[in-house]
Amino acid sequence: MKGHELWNKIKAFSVKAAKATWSFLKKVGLACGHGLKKFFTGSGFRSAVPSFLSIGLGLVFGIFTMFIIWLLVRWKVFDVVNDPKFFLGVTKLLMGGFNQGMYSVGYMLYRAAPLILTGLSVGFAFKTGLFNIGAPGQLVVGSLAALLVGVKLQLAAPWHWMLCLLAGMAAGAIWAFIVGLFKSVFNVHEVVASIMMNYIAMYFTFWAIENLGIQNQFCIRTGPNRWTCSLAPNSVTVLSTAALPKGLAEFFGGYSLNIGIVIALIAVVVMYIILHKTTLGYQLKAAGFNREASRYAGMNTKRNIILSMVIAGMLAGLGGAVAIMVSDKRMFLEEGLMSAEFMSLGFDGISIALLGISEPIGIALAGLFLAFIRQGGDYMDLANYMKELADVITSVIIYFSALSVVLYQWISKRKAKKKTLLKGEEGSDER
Amino acid sequence: MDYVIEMLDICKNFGTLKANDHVTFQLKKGEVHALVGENGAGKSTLMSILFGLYGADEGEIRYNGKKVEIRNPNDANRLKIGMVHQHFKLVDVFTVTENIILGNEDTKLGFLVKQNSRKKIIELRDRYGLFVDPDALVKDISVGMQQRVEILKMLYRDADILIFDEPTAVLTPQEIDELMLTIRNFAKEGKSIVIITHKLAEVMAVADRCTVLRKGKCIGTMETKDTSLEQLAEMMVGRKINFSIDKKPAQIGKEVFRAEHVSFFNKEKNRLSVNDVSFHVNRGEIVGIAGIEGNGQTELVNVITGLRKQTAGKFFLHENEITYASIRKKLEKGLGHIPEDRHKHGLVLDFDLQNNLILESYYLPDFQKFGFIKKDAIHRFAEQLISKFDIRSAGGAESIARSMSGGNQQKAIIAREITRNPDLLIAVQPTRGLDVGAIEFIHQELLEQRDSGKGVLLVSLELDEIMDLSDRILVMYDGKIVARLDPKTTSFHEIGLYMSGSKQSEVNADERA
Ligand SMILES: Nc1ncnc2c1ncn2[C@@H]1O[C@H](COP(=O)(O)OP(=O)(O)OP(=O)(O)O)[C@@H](O)[C@H]1O
Ligand SMILES: [Mg+2]
Repeated sequence: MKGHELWNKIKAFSVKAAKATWSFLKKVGLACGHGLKKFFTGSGFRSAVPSFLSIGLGLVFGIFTMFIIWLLVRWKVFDVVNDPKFFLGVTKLLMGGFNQGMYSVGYMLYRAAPLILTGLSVGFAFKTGLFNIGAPGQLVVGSLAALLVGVKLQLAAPWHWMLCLLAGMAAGAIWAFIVGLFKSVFNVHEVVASIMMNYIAMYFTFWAIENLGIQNQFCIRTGPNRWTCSLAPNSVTVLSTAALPKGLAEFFGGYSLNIGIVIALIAVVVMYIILHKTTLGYQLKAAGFNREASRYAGMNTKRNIILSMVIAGMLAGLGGAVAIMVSDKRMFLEEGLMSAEFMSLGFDGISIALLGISEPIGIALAGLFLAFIRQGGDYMDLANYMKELADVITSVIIYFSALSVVLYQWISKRKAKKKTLLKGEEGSDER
Repeated sequence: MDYVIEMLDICKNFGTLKANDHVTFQLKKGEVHALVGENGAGKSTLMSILFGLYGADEGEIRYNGKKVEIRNPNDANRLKIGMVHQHFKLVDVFTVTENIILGNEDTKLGFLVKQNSRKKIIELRDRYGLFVDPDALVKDISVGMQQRVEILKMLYRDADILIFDEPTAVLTPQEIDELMLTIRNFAKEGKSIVIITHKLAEVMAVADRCTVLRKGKCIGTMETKDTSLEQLAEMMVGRKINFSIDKKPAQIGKEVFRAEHVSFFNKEKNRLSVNDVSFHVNRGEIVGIAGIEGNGQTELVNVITGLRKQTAGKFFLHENEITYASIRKKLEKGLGHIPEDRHKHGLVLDFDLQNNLILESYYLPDFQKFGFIKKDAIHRFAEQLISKFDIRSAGGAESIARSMSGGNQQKAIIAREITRNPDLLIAVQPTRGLDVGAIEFIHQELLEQRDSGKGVLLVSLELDEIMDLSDRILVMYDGKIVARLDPKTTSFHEIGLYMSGSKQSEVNADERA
């Protein structure tokens, strides 16, 4: 009898306890959910969610690929000289710019500067409703202008490189101005005009290097005081007065890092202010979202198109100047190399703008990230992986972020589904 | 029970705003059920939940008594629920047929087979008298026809439960009559219909029952035959509505605006949309332009405001010629414009409310200094307008315009334009999509503009509005002004005759010009 009562008591108690814990858990869950929701609905963060997601997915994809390669080699599907080391590879990749301490951090920052600048160029144009696929061309003419000024003029140090930067910006601006003019006056789509301007920029630069006396020469000593010189397939470098100062280089392992990153970060701040704090930004954004409404409101849409393009061009041109104003940097007179080294910086700008949701701060982070991952890629030889894997990963990330809208919807749907599922459980609990 | 749909205790929050607060809505089979309520009361939200666009936070939906989950519009389609949205969702460059079958395509080996669909569409069209050309491009057909496309789209999916979100806001009176007939026909066939509308006369005419929402809560459901227009209005807004406008006699002043021999050749349509139109507006009067949609009113307004270039003619504002002035110059000289298409022209939908309220004045010293935006000043200004014009939204000045209810978007535009205090206010369909309370308020505001010595040019498809507000009426037909009438001496019938072109008078020249 007693045992039975006790048993009942225990049963009742445990039911009560279970109910209490359940409701407690429910409360905690709800509170957490609420907090998370608040966190995620902060507008800036929320719109960046797809970017973070794509980065995550891209990395997972990359690591997965590395794993597959490792497996295939292990199973002797491939024969390789040096077996890939999976864990070392992953570590190298994820360490990115931190692989060699300050030295590699410096190199990463050096790399990031032009990327951020072209990202800003494309992102700013995006915000104002224009697709600046002309960044590569603007960048190349920016480099060319900076190089010309950096070689042809003899000036003292700070003035010389500053003037070079200005020249780069001006050249990029002119290049983009032409596109803007065509769009606003003749209604030629900016993408079409930009692509043509990209080609023109490249061949114009080849022509300029060959004909304006900035082609490199290499000379062989053929006798006492006799040198035979012939033209090299690349340009000269800027004079030392026109190279960007390396103020911080000592600290960063005595190499590479110049003030390019500082210039890029200043540009980030300036663009942030223009976009979010000024009437100029206001009207350009209005036009970007709804050109008809901005016209209705009395804004000069034709002028605004040109203005947006010019600003975007200035940024890309500045990126080009920063890229060439290094003591050993040359432009090659060959399409493939030119594309790989300079034009590609412009195209990277598109990816960075996408990943950085066209917001200056996002773009700065995206630019740093791209540099970080590429830097990590460079160290992957040590684990016997090819460094191009970094590019595979970045491409996957870009694909994902291009699909970000779809992705984001998918996730929200998943969330909604979970909610309804939870609700179902709740219902059964009550019954 | 013979309810096809029951929405029980539905709650939906947007942030802190309770868009639906324990709403219960029950739809009987074969009835026409009106859903009414103020702007932002949560009507569209409730129906979007039924259509699977939003998930409810609480509550359940029953279909023929069985509990169902409607997670997306596909689920809704499966349950034979169809919806015509407040703002149509058609693809401009697709044909009518393509739009109708979109998302529900017949395919053979992965290729689109349109022939059968086209046949089915023609069948449906003839059966319900919803005339449209199945091969026309959507961008080439009128708004009324676009709506028929939306309706056909529902029928094509065999919908039995039809939801109409403000279907009559964009229609001409004739089209409204036809739509009402169609809706009754649907009901006779056993389809169940929900119609959201602000036009209470329509509710009385077509609905069997109606449900009133206010501020997210359900106020009640009743048989329309047991209620009256006045009672409905009171239930909606919570106070008595004055349907008759008390208008002071006009204090007509000097001329403020004049149009001389204006013509506009529309290249896309390849015809003369505005044909030698002359008129003037004085200070202290409201001039109404009546006409059936597509008779040149839109184009006339567009050339006056500068959105399009006139082919011929001149404009004067206070005796200054503004024919070739830029839009900004016109605005600065004293023109105000409540545009016909609020999404295309009136708002930047991705901006928040406060930034939309300064769309035309952001560059004035009030809102900027050395080119830097004065955030606080803008915010304060927005708060003022929000409280004065009772603009309701989830996030106040920071709400993104896109998330606001249709009527509140309209109120925002009106607030902006009236606050600019223009000498000539061109108001095109100013009360489209507004609730009775808001309409009353806007009408008063327009009259106040007039009484304070400003000129108002009112363009509206709604004859009531024209008759109630105007001091003079111009009727447009086929791009011309075919009548200049005095609202005190004319009748609906007479205006109707002019509007349809059955009567014409030789009044093309302005009395003064
Ligand atoms: N996606 C959204 N995000 C935030 N708030 C929203 C959203 N959709 C609607 N709301 C808010 O919910 C409220 C109800 O909106 P809803 O569109 O249902 O109103 P409505 O009754 O249809 O009004 P109207 O007659 O003006 O169309 C409004 O205050 C609106 O601002
Ligand atoms: Mg609505």
